[in-house]
Amino acid sequence: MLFNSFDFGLFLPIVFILYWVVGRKRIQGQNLVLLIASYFFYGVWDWRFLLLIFASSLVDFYAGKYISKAQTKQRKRLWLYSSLSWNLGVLFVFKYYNFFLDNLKTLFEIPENTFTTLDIIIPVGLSFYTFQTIGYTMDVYRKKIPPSQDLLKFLCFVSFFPQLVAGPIERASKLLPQFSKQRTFGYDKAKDGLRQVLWGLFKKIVVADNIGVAVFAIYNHPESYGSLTIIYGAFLFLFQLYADFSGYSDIAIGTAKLFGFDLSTNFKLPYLANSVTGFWRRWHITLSKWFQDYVYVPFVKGNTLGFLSKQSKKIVGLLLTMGLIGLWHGADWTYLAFGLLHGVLIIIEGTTITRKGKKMKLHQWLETGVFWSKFYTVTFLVVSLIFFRASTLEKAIVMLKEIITQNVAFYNFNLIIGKKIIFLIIMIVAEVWRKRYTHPFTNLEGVFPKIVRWGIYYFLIFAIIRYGRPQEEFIYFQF
Amino acid sequence: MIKKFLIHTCIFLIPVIIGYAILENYTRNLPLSPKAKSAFYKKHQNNIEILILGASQNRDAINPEFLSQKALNLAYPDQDYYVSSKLLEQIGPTLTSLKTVIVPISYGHFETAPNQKETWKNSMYRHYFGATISEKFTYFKDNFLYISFPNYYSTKINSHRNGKNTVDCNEYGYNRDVSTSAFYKLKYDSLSIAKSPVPITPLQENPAFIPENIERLEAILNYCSQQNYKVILLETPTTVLFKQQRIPEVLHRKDSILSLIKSKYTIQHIDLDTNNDYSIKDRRDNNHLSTQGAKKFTKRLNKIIE
Repeated sequence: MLFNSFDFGLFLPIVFILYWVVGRKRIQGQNLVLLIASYFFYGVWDWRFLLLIFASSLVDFYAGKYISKAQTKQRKRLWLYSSLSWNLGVLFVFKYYNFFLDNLKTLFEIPENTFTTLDIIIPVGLSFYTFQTIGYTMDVYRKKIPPSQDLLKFLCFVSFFPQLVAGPIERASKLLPQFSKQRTFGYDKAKDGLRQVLWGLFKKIVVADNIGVAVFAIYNHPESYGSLTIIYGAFLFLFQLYADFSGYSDIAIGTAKLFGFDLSTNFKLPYLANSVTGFWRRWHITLSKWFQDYVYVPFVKGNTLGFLSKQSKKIVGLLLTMGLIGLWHGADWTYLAFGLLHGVLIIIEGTTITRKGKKMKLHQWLETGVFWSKFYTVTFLVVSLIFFRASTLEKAIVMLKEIITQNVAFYNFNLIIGKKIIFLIIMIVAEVWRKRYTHPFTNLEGVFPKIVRWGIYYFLIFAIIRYGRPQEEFIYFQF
Repeated sequence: MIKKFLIHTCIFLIPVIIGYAILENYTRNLPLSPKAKSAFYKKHQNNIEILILGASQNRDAINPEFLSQKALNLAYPDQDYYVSSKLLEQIGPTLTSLKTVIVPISYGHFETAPNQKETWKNSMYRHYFGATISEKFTYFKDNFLYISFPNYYSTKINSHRNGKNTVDCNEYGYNRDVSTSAFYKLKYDSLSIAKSPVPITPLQENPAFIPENIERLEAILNYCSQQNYKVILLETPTTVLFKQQRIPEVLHRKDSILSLIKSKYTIQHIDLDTNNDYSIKDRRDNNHLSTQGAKKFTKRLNKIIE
């Protein structure tokens, strides 16, 4: 079930009432309502996905328990590796097996019919909930959290519907305890949640989906346009991706608030970053933190590749982490190229320079607000996202070539979506204006009187109904 | 506390619900071609002998007014074999006198993505004909017209309100208005037409789509054979410019598939794409006929059917 579907519009109030009315007296009751709702929410896509998420939850629930009970380090490790093998194995089979096999065949010239690719669909949100459960097992292994003793709470933690299919990827230490506490209804929190949901829907349905039309037209036929339109298209994709994914996160966080939960912030105006390093501290924060804690830091601090110097290890670790972040988005060379490009820039930004007699990292200097730092960051993002958006590496290169080699910059210049571009401007202005808050409608009472606030909400609802498009998809669902 | 929250939310939503209800009602009453077709269908359900399926080429080329038997034209832009088969399976049984089904076969049919499984048209067909053509779980959304494609219906509402409605349907739901057609906009000037790009689908070879499209066409043919309906595979006229743009390999594969279908099923293949006696004014664009062209075409088709 998609957040921007009518089904969700019916599902949410029903679950909300059941949750607060039926389950209000007992934590178990609330959790049970949430579990049934989450499994229903997920099962609407394909009921078979439920078997997988249930199996993954059981594996990690028991792995956590056995890790904590194990007397020796070897046994602890055995349980950890069992859990990791299951999770990464599932991820590999569903997401990477065909890619791996196709490339293996090409590399070693293996005949086409030697190994067959799997004709399977990737379960929605697989990468998100798998990472969440891996994080749990790792934290139990590192003794950062005690293992969950309550299966119902753990099943809720893995399948909590607001963040199940596209994050934020929550840490067990933050989300799991919330299932153990009695949630009491808070009027202001619920109101704030509803406003955040509305803002998220606006970003997704009105901004992302409409600029997506222009992006589609330009990326599909870059040869039909001059370089200016292609650059415009590349910039639009930057915002489409942001509005789509951060819109989703807003709906997820807002929905969780309606049920008394707090989810992590996933975006902090990433395109205002002054460096690529800074960008990753603001973009899909829960994913980059996950990779930092469970891949980069253990790699740099661990014994792997012990023959390398500390500095070399950091460089290899960064490239590895960023390459994996790229591949996390999908099994394709374009995603790997996207991740590695970012990795290279982060390494460059990590070099030490001397400014005014002071030694500092390049990204620290950039983040002091050097006038061209924003320009540099956004330009790099635009270029790297061309790889992200293009279906093949060749197409990405064609797109870049078209920008450079097109003689007539203004040839066939077209906004494509006409006046609807105003919605993008509204989104940018609102988010920058209210950048101190998690979403632009937080504490709006102090800014506008009720009549203006309601006017704004009605305008957004009107825009959502009027400018909604027939398709209902989120870009990040495919990951 | 929760009671207060629910009450406030409901109060807030009342104007939204009322506003939408007005919009939906207005949309449902718009004089659109499917509405006229629906009225014709409901009135002549027991007398309709011909059912026309397919995409915009069939919609524009066949004006049932000029057929001797009562015909329902359910062809609609971008409609693939999947949607056609769904319409046939659901609307066919309601037409008690149905004898003939006209199915399109054209240059692009087999190598165009079969992507109509989840279409906004589902709500249109549900509303006007009671048919569900979507493979998807029937969404709440599919029971409302406006929300299924707000942009499309908003344009229709605006034109209607401004008196610029481009729908001029006859009793059969055939839209006689040509003012939105490409050739009309170019004032039927042959030089301008020659200079204009020729939109053609597919632009590149897509043999991967062939199996699924054949499967869907065969579903139509098998169904017709079970019901003893006569099947006409119809090719509608295109311009020389259009023919020049076709990819020879795609065309060749289409012909091969047609030969295979002919050998496997009892069908009548009518190729009216070979006629070159259509004037510029007989056409809406390079592969669609105008009202004037449809008259000529339908009369010709009628003779063959008879």
